Amino acid sequence: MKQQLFEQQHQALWESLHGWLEDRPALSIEDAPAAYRQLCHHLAVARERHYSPALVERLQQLALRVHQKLYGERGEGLLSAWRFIWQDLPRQVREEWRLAAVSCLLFFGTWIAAFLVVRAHPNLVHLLLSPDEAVKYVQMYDPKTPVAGATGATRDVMMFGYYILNNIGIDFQIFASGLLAGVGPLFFLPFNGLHGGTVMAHLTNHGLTATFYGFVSGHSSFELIGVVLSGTGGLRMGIAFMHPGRRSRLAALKEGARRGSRLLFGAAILTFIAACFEGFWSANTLVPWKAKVALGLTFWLLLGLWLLLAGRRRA
Amino acid sequence: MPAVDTVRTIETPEGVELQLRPAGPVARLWAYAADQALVWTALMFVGIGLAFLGPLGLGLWLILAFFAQWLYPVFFEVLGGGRTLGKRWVGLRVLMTDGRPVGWSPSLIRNLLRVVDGLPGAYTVGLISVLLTRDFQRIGDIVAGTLVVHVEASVQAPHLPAAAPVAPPQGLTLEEQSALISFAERSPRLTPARSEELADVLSPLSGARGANGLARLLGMARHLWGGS
Repeated sequence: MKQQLFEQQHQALWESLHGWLEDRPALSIEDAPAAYRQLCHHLAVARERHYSPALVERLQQLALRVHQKLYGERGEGLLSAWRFIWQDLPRQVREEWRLAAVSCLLFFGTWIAAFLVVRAHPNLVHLLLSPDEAVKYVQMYDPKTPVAGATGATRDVMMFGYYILNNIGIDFQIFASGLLAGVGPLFFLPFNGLHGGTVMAHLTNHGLTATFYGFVSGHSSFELIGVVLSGTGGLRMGIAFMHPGRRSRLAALKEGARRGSRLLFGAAILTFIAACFEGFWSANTLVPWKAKVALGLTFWLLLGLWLLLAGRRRA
Repeated sequence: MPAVDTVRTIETPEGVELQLRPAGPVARLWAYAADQALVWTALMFVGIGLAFLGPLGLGLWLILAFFAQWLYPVFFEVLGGGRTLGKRWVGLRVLMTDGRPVGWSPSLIRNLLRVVDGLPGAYTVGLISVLLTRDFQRIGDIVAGTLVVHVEASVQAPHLPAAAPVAPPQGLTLEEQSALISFAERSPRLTPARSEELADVLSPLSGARGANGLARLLGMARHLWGGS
């Protein structure tokens, strides 16, 4: 067949696919796949018959565009987000319980150890904090310290912004550095754990329980579990790289990153909630601190139950 | 097509091969620089406005900075057809390695792993990775399974020198047709003597030598491109 005849015969189909790409009602959605298969056939024929490069290139670009439109990923929107939170995430955490346990141990283990050590020997606080920092922390939680600058709602928003930028950024960093054979979480988790435990013990030693525990208890569960989850995700990626099993290292790494990033989504959500509490709830002094601690402990319990029990029923 | 070109061929379920052109480090660097310049300029101007709001403004600015730093490329890549504003300017686009558009998860992975790609500073790890991989992928691209490609401009007609169209005496393969057309496209930039010398190589096809042979080849190129 002459090329001219070929073009004449099929021009209409190509035009209609073009129209479909540009959202003109040239082709109904049901007809598009069939038309696309036709186009692929035309492309193969044009190549095989050595039609002119211009025509082949035109067909190949049209095919590429339709291919991308037909095979594009479709999100399921709110429903899938809901299912992710209520089923997929807790299930995955339970599936990865070994890594989650390692992550917990690295973070809470060092936290508790540092707390106990500094409680027993208050001077050891200077191993981790410089004298200036130690004094600064005490000042921060001293009830007599006036809150600098503005007070009330505007200050809350400022702190909220700071917590978002800083804390979720830390989660992302812990996760991404997991790619370096897992070294990132292995360093960041104990480092943050030691720091947290030391500060907590130091403030307890100074008798600042009411202000400190009143402030941190509300958001602590969301924030700390978020850190552990991002650490788990980072470790998942690092382990996949170091110990690919029967896959190629690259395939294992891709799978590990896919799984790890889902944990990271969860961590980011939790850390976001934590920032909301931290910015708008934790600093208020209207509620007695014991009530705030009680609420904080309730959150710990609820989050624990969520991770242990949610999504156990098979759909 | 030539084997040494940076073309990635994907095979679709329909059994045809489509070709993608991965973008090299220089084009990507420009896109990145444009993105950064844009984002920080915007943050600066917004920051000047928000400064009047005091701590409230600072809080809002910090939230914006978070979005700009981590999520700006993700939103644009997923919702903007694989293109951040910088990539749009340079004419690049992010695709999955199998030619599909990127989704949320791969886009987030490839953008978070900028932390690793930028490691010792100045994107050293990323640059080395881009230079070592066949499809110019940085670490984030490799892990997420993505690719940065040139958005193909619509097919441009080549500027062929004027000549009367001549049908080739025999059927030519696609590669041969492409070679003939590229030669015709390039010949005005060569000296006439050199053009004729090159055309002489094809004298078995054109059946003539010298200026006459060249004219016949140019005519064939016009014929092939015109496709009539």
